Amino acid sequence: MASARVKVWDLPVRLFHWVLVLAVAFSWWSGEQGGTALKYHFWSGYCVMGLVLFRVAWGVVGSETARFARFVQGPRAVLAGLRELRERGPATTLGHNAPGGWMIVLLLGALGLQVTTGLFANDDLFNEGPLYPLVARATSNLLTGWHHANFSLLLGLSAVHVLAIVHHRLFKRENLVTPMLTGWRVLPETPARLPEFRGLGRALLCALAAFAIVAGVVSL
Amino acid sequence: MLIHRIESMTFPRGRTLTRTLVTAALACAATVPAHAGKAEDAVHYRQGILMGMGWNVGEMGAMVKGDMPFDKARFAFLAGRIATLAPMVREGFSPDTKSVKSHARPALWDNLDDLDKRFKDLEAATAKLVEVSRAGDEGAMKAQFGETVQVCKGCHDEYRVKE
Repeated sequence: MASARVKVWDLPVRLFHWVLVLAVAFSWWSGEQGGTALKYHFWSGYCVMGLVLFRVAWGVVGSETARFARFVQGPRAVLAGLRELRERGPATTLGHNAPGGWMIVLLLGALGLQVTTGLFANDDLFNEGPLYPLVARATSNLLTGWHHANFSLLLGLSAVHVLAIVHHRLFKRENLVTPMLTGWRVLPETPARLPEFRGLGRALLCALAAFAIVAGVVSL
Repeated sequence: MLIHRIESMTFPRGRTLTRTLVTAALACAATVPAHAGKAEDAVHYRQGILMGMGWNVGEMGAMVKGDMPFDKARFAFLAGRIATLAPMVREGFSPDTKSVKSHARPALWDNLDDLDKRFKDLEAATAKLVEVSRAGDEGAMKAQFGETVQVCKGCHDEYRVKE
């Protein structure tokens, strides 16, 4: 059987993905430690914030498989995508399928909520988010509650994300992890049209803009 | 009321009034957890003490984090304050406050032995913080501060609701 290697994920998406995994894992650990270790939690939180902002920008002006307009689809496509999960064999879409696309939106939304609430949070001891002075104590307490509750949601979404990968691997016999590492996917045949990719210079500009926004917000 | 009772007492020979007062006060403290005030007052009392601790911990935390210069003398002074306040909190969790709306989780009232243990730990940790601060090694002071706030956090995580 002929097979084709097709590039699906560019370096910015892959870097974003794996640094995000590390940053979220570290944020989880350092957040649980609390106390004097919370300063590291702040740094990893800023990192997550920068990554999310970068991904949003790259989802607008980035490579084709990264763009929201390309993978965010209507309910009909989502249902079709879910039905496809019950069939064996590799996915027919190149990048995110429709349900997966919505998972990206949900994950980015939950991460955005997580970093935003964290900016205003307090730990009842001696740590306050950089924007804590801007709100009333009661508001900060409320947002801290959301920061804790939303993390459970984030863990739940991450679990679904990972289970979907496992499902693809075991049931549909498709490895989705390797393409996220190497960028290349092996398909039964070369698709009619290959995705377009944007240059690293543009990605670097997006990243710079994202982290500049973080620096600006944190020092408000 | 306490004063009246003590004044009407007859003092055994060789005992000073002060000594008797101290003994009586200690006896009262040991047998009567809280005076018969309103339950709400007890809640305000414990919240006030905890607020007071938070105020001082806040400044120590700022020093430990490097947000302000580390002033050993000031740090030791603040450590003394929280060590003084720490043994005062538990009294505010009197049984009658169970029905008063506060940040205390209902589970707290089923785990009073654990609560006692946590406050003993807090007393020990803050006492050690004072001791370490007297010795004056900055690294050790910061480390013991970290240990102490973990005791605070442990109890908050277990028995405190944010809203």
